[in-house]
Amino acid sequence: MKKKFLALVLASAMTLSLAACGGSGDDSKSGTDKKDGEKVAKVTTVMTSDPDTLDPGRADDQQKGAIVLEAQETLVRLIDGKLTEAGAEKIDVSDDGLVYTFTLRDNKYSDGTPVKAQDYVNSIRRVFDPEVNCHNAGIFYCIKGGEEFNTGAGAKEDVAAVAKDDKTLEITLTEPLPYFTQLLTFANITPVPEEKTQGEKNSSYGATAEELSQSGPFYVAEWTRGSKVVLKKNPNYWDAENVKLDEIEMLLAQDANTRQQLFDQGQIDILQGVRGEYIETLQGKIDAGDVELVSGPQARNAYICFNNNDPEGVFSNENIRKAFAIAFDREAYVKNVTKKDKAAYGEVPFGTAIGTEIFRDVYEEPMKELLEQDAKTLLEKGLKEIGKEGETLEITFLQANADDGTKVISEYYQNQWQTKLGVKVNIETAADNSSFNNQVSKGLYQVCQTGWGADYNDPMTFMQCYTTGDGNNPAFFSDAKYDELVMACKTEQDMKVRGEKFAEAEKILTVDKCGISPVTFSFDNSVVNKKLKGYFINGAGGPSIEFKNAYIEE
Amino acid sequence: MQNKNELNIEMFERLGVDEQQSENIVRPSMSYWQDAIRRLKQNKVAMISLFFLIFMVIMCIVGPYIYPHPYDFQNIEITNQPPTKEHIFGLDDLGRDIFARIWMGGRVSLAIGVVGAVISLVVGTIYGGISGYCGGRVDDIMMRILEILVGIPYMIVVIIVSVYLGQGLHSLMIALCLTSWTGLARLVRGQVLELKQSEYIMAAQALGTPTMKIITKHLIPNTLSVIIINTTFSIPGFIFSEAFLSFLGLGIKPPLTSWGAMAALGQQQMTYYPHELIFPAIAISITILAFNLLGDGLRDAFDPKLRQ
Amino acid sequence: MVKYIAKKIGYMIVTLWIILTVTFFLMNTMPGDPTQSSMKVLPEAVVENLKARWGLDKPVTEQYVIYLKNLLRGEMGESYKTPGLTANQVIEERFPASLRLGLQAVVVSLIIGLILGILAAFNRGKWLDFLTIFIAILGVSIPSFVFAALLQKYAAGGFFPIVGWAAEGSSLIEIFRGTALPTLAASIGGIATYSRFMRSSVLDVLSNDYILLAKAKGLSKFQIVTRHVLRNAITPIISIVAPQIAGIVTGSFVIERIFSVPGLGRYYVESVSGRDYPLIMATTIFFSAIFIVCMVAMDILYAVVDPRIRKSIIDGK
Repeated sequence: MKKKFLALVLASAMTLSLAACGGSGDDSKSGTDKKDGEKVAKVTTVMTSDPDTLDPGRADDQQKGAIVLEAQETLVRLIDGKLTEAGAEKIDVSDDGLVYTFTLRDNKYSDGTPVKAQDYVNSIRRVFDPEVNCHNAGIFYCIKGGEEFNTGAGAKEDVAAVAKDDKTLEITLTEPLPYFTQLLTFANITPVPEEKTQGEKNSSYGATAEELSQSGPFYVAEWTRGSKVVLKKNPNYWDAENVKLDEIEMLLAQDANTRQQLFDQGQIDILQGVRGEYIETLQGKIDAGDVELVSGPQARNAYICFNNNDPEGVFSNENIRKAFAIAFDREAYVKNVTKKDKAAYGEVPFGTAIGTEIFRDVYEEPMKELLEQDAKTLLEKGLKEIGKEGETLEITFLQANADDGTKVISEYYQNQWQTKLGVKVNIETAADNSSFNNQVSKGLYQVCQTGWGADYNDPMTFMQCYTTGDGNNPAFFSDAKYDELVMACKTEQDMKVRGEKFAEAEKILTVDKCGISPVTFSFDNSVVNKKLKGYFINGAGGPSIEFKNAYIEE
Repeated sequence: MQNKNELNIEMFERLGVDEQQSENIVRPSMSYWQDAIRRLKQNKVAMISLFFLIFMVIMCIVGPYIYPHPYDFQNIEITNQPPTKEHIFGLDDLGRDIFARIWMGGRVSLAIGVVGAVISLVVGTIYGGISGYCGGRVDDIMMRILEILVGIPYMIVVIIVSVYLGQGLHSLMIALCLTSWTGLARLVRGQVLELKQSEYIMAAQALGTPTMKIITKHLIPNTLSVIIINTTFSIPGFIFSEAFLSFLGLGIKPPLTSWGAMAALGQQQMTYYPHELIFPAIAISITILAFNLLGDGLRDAFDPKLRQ
Repeated sequence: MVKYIAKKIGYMIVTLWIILTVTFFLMNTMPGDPTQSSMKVLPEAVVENLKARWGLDKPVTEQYVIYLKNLLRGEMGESYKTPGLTANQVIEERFPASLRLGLQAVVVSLIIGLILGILAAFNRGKWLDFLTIFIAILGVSIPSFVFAALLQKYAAGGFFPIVGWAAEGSSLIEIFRGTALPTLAASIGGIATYSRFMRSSVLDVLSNDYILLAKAKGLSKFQIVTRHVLRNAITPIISIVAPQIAGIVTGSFVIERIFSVPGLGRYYVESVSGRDYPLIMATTIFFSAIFIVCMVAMDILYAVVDPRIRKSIIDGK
């Protein structure tokens, strides 16, 4: 009542006429609406960023992935978190693990044209095509000829993805990657007919919804840049009978408060990544069963990144790194400072699978023993080693931005390190993300906080970064034994052996050498309208929420 | 018929003319400044505002020393606590006392607000005054320079300042004042363009008064009201710009804080912990109110048109 | 007059050229480049490849010459971040919303601000005066994003949508629904500024002899305001409105973000942080051109309301 009143007052203040408005809106609420006498099952959700393109080849962030993966069919799909044959009905792997043969299903695009193996070939080539500039290309360098084409040393015809016939696709790898099928859940590897990406169109495909070829359970029916995306059920989809939703509306809401407002008013049915305080305000509805709270791990971590090549010669010392790594209580940190996520004592987050098992269920987090050491003693030892015994150490912490979430973290570290280690900590803020990335990738910093999210569901996505010379190794960590262990996991087929090797490497990285120091593992809280059922929130890989089998319960 | 009210000669008395007394000055002689200050003192609202501002400045200087809770102590166990007897303004997201932080933040914000306002006041008035008064080609060129300064994306300039001049207070001030004066310059120019066609300016010109003197003695005092309003109104602008610049890597270093930074944090938290927004916002608002009311008083006191 | 406008256009071209030149070189001295806008580090060879495609491997001066040549042909280039999206398209797509938001906000704040300012001046020292000061102070000391968030929390959800801008060509009531709250949020600063300046400038005018004369002639307050006060008090308002129009028309980033307005503001900010050079240049040129036009309009308006100024500006005396 109060709200409506205020709305009225404000509206009238604006137009200076009270008569201008009255009555509340008849916003089409999500759920089941009557339309033309027919029931429309509709779900409304939010986009946290404005997608710039819907080209599958350029779908390299979570938001674009969430749209493209509903509108496109991958060869395998994560159904309830399990890899399931989708675009391919049969996958044959050669004995040496190098050649994958996919037998495609009889699937059709939303316009009725059949999906052909050539369309997958086209999209795989486009992943490496310098004109397309797919940021995930590096992940697929395991496909023979891909790296060469991507770096300009080879031609697109040499990319080892070939259509044997319209229904048979063959991909040859450079090495027998045991987790290759995981990579096939990427939005980048979804069919795009070659004629759609000819000439100019190669780089501009996906700039409008009309030109898209869409092979998924839904298709993008409407896309208003800067405002919303509307997905409708694809009647030509091979599994259309199991798709129960008629429409998914995705509203752009970049501000967290805006999103909560939308959920409060029942205008969206599901909201991911909500903070603890918001859940508290919803507790009444959760208890009453109107809102469901879904919590689960996301395969993402945050860590303190030491510059192992510190230009000041401080964090190049192992003992100093260790001192800083343990000089604060991770449990208190997640409980009082971030108020979300879980404390991390290892590199590989919960929610990362190795084969059929969850890595963290099998291998214990290695860092707990390190925490038993005394930070102050370690620091003194380290200072002695770098010839700064007795001096008050002064270091600079680089923060990526001055957003509240970042600031609170750096000021917490600053306070903890200053009080527990007796050092002086300066906080420097990067001018913007590009500056931060530039500074970190060039090693022009001492210590910062950063994180990594899984590209695919295998520990390799985390472990590979810290091998010597990897482009995504901001810590400049380098250890021969670590490199050896991680590289061996690229070809090792036995998941048990792999797991042990990863666990050993993880201990080197986080404990023995302490090149980086993980702090938290992401843990997502989502609130969901109780009527929405059958959806699945993915932790690693796939669309962030899978709506393929979702339905509205009356 | 004699009327009782009729005037008669007895009712009048001859005073005569005293040559000496006619030269006496009944009202004390006052310069422009003395008169202005006298009138300012008579303005109660302005004086209260002035004393309030002095109080704020004193509190910002001594407050952190006499208040028992240090501004940077983190009560990690009780973050975001609403106001209590112990912490009268509550605690922030790291459990730091907001009352203590208001005074620490006030040091930065008041200093930046006032220094920034004064710099733009001086630069803007002179620039606008010259441009408007000289007119013609000088005006054209000066206004084009101003357009160029405003046209270049501010963010790029700030990033470059922060990268090449370092992240100290001096780069912050440079970034703050780079374009802040242009608004006042345009305003003053507009006023001067209007005023310079006035008869008294022509008279001054005819009498051979030097240009600088015409600008300072005649034109600027007559544009004083817009100058004062613009200046008092620009102070919150500086307070918030400082917060914005800290997002681009300029600005003060944590754990030091400022009102702008506190308000920016409070905005994120306002749904759950409104006290984190309300107290810094109140501090900013009443300070700005005091500056404005004082500005009104100053304007009334200094405006030559209102001088009797 | 023709000569005056020809001169102005000449100046405008030169000014724009200087702005774009300075921006071009400053932009290239910023740390980082377009290949570093994402967290993921691209392989060296890919980076080289991209730079070659974008022409970033050439010396900056050469890039500048190429850019100028393309610009003269009317091509402002393609976004690096979204291949296929030209800078011209971005402006065409996004400008209408920014323009509507900006103009509505300026109109609303002018109407409310001027009325409040005049009322305050005529009621100097009374409660109405203090009320306007109070509103004005709140207007400048509450940042627009806080105001926007408050509006969204307490006023949206019923009649007004929380997000959802009205597309161009919708019905009047739809446009009102979709744009009212963002407009109000964007106008609060203007209301504050205009009311304060108007009050002060009306007070100045009221102390003039001709007002006394008008009063003596028995003109009503309304007549005095419309015939004498407005015209004479408006100069400072013109000085502030002109640049404000320019600023708000190119987008208010925060308000666009909170209400999901499909405006230009986002590109103006994100193109810089993403080092999307063609978009940085395009938005800068576009913004500067609008700003300069507003400055010319400001001078012409001065001349229209005050014949005395006409002499100083147009005749160049």
